[in-house]
Amino acid sequence: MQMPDTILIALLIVALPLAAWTIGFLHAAVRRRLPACQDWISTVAVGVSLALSLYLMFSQVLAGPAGMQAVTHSWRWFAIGSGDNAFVLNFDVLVDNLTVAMFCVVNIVAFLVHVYSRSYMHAEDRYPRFFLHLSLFTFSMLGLLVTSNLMMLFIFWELVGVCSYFLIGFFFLKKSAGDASKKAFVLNRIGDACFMAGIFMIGGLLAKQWPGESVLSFQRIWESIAMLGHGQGPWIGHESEVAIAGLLVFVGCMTKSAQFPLHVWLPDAMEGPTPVSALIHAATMVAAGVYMIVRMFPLMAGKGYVSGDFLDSPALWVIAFIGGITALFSGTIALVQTDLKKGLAYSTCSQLGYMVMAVGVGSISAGMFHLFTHAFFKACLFLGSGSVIHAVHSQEMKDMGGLRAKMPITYATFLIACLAIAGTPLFSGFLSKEAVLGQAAAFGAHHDSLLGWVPFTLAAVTAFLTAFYMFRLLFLTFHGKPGDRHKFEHAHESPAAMTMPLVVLAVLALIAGGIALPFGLDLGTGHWFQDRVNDQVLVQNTMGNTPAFADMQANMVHRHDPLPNANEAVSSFHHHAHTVHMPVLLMSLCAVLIGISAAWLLFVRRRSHDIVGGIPPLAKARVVMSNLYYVDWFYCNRVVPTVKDIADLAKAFDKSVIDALVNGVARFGTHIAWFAGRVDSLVVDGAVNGSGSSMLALGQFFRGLVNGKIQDYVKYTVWGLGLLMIWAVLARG
Amino acid sequence: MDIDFGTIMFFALALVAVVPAFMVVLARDIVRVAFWLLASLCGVAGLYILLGADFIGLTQVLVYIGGILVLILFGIMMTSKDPLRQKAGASGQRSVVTGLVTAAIVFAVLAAVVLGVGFEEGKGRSDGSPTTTALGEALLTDYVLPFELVSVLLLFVLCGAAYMARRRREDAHA
Amino acid sequence: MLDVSLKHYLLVAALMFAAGVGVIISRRNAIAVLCGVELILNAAALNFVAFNRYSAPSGRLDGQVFTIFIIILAAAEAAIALAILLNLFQQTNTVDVDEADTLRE
Repeated sequence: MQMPDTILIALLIVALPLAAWTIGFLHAAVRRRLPACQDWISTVAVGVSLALSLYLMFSQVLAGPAGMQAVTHSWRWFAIGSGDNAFVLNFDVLVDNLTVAMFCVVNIVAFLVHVYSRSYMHAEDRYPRFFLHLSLFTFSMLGLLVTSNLMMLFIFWELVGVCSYFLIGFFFLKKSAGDASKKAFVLNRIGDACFMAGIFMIGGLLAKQWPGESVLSFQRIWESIAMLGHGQGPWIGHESEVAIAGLLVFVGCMTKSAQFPLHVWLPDAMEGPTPVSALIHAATMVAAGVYMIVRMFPLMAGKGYVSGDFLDSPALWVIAFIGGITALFSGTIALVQTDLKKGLAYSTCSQLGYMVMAVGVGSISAGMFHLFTHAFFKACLFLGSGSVIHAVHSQEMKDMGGLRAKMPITYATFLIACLAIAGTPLFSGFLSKEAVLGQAAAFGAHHDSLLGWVPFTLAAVTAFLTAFYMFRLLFLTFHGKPGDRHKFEHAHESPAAMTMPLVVLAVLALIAGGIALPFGLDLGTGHWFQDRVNDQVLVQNTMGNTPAFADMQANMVHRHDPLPNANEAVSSFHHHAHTVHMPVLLMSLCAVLIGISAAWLLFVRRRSHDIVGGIPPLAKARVVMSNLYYVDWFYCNRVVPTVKDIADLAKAFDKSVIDALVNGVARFGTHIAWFAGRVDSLVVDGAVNGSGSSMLALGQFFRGLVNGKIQDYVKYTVWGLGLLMIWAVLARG
Repeated sequence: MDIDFGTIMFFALALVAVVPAFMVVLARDIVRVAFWLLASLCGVAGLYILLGADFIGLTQVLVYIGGILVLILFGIMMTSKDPLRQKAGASGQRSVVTGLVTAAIVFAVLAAVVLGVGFEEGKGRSDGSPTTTALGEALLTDYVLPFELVSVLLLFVLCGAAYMARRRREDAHA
Repeated sequence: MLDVSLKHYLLVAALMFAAGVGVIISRRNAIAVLCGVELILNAAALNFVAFNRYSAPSGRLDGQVFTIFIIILAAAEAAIALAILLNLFQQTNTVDVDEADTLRE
């Protein structure tokens, strides 16, 4: 099969960071040290990748109204077994609008982080190694995006996980950094185990339908779900397992995207260098979980997927609630953080909760859009915080304050990013957040129940909190009086290598969503991102005219008007999506306004340093929040001891039963062997030696008899006579 | 209690015949062997007389004790440099136990035959009159040919023995 | 009181015979062995006399005649045996029968 150029370019994009890594690795293997110019090698590689990604973006995705036509390609990696029993693993590649968009996000942020790090990390030990890890991470992340096989995705998923481990623990001489990397690694194993279980469930069922094929490719999974919607295919008779498999896969997403209650690793991951926090733990890797459930959305939606009536899917309900709870939960913790980076980390958790909730309430386009915009402004915030930390050599906000004048560029970019994340009109975050809130509201209106409105309520409160805590961070860092006069005196604006990426990201934070106008913007007429990244485009462009997807067009839950032949539930949802649109818009505007105003009043006007402001109930709440709602405490003091107890029990069982059994078997074996040895040496050897020696003895005996002594002959004669006598007596009876 | 003189004599003579016979087995040295044999032969001679064979009994004393035993004593004196020191132990004897065991087996066989077979006991001669006349008649009538043959045999034996026992000069010198 | 019968004489003869065999087997001296042979011959002769006494028809002395022959042959045998022994002694300077094992080689 002729490989399309698009595929070739996509693979080149993936391969370039790998090449950079390979060069450094081979150099290290041969010359015993990394090349001194590893920073240049990695940066150039990711720069070329970025150029190619942007080329694809502009030449393909943005060229037509619905973006590019999806292209796929497949290489057989290996097959275990043969014929119908074979397990086949293909390296399936899918390049569509979403892939290219994510390529751009990853490459832009990665490139800017590379540039930033050349300055930020320059004084650090192991400077070349840092770039080696960055290259490996970039490759893994891009590979995760380009593959369309769940197993391959899992492999890259693990690769980004291990890169995250390397980079969180980059300052491994610091104990807290080592502990944090281990915590991230161990917690991610929980999700990975569930993810793998989900993969096995899916693969096992689909192999019945398509024996001997690469059943873990996205296309097969989507098709199987669409067939379920038509009452056929491998899931028939296993309907409940769709939700189970979906939820298992979602647990993988929960750890990777730091969803409650498995989020605890992400704040600790801030022990890593700040550029790493920006790249991995804000913009890209933690978004991989969201990307994955977006790709697996048909699985989450279940059998209603093809008809469009999937909002009752149990998996989606769980996802929506987990996302909403995470958003609010992390948002409240962010209120009381005193560490700048940790505040941003909880903000990341909260925003990831938004994305996950968006998928849960049925809109992958809203979720992906928020991911897309969030990557830029959150990377900008992290790099800005890095710039500040670089200047004052502290992460604590009490050491900061009043830096506005000293670091104008950093301040300006940080402000733009804060406005964007808060959801201020004209900024990219406004559009994406409004899309999420609108979808959540439509979800609530569609279900028209208390439970149905919960995700929206959580999201709306979070919208207010987001504006509040982000501006708290901003005010405490850049406004007011300096917390530490000495540090303030030595603070200075960062070099251009660090401020340039900030500027680029700030511009992107402004325009990445498209130029958003607060009023009179008819979102119903379409939007450049949502027109290109939604179920219809992603799935149907890929699947073409596969029978199972033939009638999907009419039923897409999308902001466009439903087609006339859409079913009733879908029509109802579209109706609600339109009616809730304007109230939600106004409500989110209010939330932003109130949040920013409250922060200004509290932290600029009253020069307070925390949220309490003398109100006793808030003081109590602050204690709870400062203790992270005791989740970590619960894990350390309840879960871990329990697991240890279980492990001890298992160990005791192992020792007393399994070991005893094994030892018993072994001891039994040795006894058998000993016995066999004795038999051998006594019986067998005895028989062998005995037959020889008995012949010898017999010879000796007879030789002794025939000694030429008449007297002995007489003796034997007499004895023979005696024997004859005995015989005679016995014979007589 | 009626004690028969003949019975007492039998047991006495039997003891005199049997016990020295076993002492021949157990005796320390070759001279004692010869004298225990003398005793045993005397006992047998007594038993002959008790059985009414007076001539045989006397012949036994004359020939055996007076002839063969003296002959044996001469043999001992001629072949042993220090006959009394030829101990029963290491060099004088083989295994007494083996000898006794073998003797026991022989006796067991013979006793089994003696006791197992019912010998017909006729009257026989029991009057105790001298048998010399009758024997003389038997030897010169019924057994005249064996008698003459034994005489010739004795002649040859004497000649042969004299020839064999003769000390060869050349051997002696050598 | 038991009557002395043929069996008693036969048992005495058997004991003597057994003793004779014992002597032949246990003694190393050739002359002692000759003594054993004499014992055996005596045992046999005693049997003849005893049978003649208890089993022979009245007036017959065949058993005693045999005994006379046995005594004659015993004398001849003793003479020959001693002659041989003297000859052996001249050759090997010993009368130990264990040494006279040339037959074995």
